[in-house]
Amino acid sequence: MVCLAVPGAIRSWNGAPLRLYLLEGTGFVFGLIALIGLVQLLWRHVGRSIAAHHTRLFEIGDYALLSVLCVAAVSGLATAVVYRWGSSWAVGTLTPYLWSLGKGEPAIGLVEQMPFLIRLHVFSWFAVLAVVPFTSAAMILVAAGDRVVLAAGRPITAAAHTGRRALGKLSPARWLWPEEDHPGDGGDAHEPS
Amino acid sequence: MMFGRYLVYTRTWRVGVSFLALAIAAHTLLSAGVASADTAEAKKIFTTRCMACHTFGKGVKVGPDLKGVTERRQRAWIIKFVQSSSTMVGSDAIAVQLFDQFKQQRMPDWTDLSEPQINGIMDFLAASGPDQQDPDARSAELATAAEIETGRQLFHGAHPLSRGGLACASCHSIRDEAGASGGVFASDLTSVYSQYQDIAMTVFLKRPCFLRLPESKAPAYLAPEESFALKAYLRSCALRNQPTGPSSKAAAGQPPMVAKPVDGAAPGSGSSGSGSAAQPTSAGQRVVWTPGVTGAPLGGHRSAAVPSELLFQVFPYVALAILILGLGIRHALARRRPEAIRPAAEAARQAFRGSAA
Repeated sequence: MVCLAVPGAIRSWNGAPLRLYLLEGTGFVFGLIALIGLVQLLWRHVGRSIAAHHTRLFEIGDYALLSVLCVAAVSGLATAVVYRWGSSWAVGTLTPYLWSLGKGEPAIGLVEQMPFLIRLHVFSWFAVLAVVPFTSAAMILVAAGDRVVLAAGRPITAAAHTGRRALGKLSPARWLWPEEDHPGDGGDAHEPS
Repeated sequence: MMFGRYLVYTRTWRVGVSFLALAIAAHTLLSAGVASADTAEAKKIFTTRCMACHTFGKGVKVGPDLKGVTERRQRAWIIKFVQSSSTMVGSDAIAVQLFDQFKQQRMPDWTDLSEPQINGIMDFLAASGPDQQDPDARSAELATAAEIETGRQLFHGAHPLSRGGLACASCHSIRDEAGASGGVFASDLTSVYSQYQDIAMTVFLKRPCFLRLPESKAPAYLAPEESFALKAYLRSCALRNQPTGPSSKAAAGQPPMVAKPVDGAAPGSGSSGSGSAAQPTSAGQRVVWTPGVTGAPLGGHRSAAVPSELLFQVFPYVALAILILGLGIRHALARRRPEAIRPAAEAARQAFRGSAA
């Protein structure tokens, strides 16, 4: 992700061998920790009974997601070993490829030329995106998204309410039929049902 | 009192000399920049305007060969002739002679060219004109120790490439006096100079060795000086690690290089390279040198069972669409019972972690 955001900074950082080793080493350790965590998760899923509220589709989705994540982690770690200094060469190849995807003009030549292991790594991350909606983990994202939607919608709702009250005060109905309740009078008066 | 005055004068001198040195340095730097810009402009003007009718050292075309023109004629005369040859043909004896000699072909009056521009062209012609060699065309044998060191720094990324390219060590490994270092993404370059030799190396360094951005889109990803320094460093490494024995290249497992014609300019020279070839197949043929091995440096191949277009061009967008649509549908379904979203998320978290049985 850092490569994607600031490729120039990564190139500069990797200019000194010590910094390169530091970045690559840190990345490798994080990758290893992620792989261990994924294997643990997968192990817990194996052989357990499915909860009542949990559908078979989501269980299969969970297996698929964890498997694909494992493939991504293993291929990433193997790439780090077999084709070392990925943080350096990826800024000239994979980063422009991802940017080209964002621009809607995929430069597949950049990834097509890569060895199988790296193509597998890239593909597995796209597969992760496709699998996520069919997992139980998607509900976590849905809940988080719901909170974001509500938080973002709150000021819009408040602005709409204020606007409605302001328009109600300007309504000619107030002067034409003063005895009736009108929206924007301060109460929760609405149209008679 | 005298001593104090002496000190004041001494300091004044020092300050004056410092300013003078700075001014000279600045002038030298600026004039170097201006000179290189002038040369580039002169080359461009010469190529676009003069070469249609004139050659440089290749004989008469429409007008005279311009090699040595700065020695044959006065600068003032050349400037006047370039700007208004049609006027001079009626009055100047040399102009009349040239007019008669070259089948009475009139040269256009280049009135838009200023005196400094014409002087620039003359300077360019005086300094061998189009025959001038680029800095990277020099033989690596002539490199100084400083240039080799610059090449080493450029190779390993200690000194960034001026045009923002990736350092060679990102992908390639090499063995120098400090031992083997660099990436293993692409081939080892320790003996690449022995394999390609000087001219082919110069050609090879003009373009990136595999597709990457932004280098592949740039007209020249290395400055000529950088290209030369890298070539010199590669040569030093090749010499240091030169295998011994009569069949050294075979022993080192070097693939033979292959010269391929550029733009079909050299028919019949499709695979004329050999392990010991070091020069282009023949004079005037434009060739590119590629490794004689069948596999690309990075190991990628197009003949996969599933086309790459499908995997890396279509699938990413499909995956993103599935993600957005899928999460959107699940959110819409969950909003039917908003109060159940949080408990459901907690249950999902437990389920995903594998702790709910």
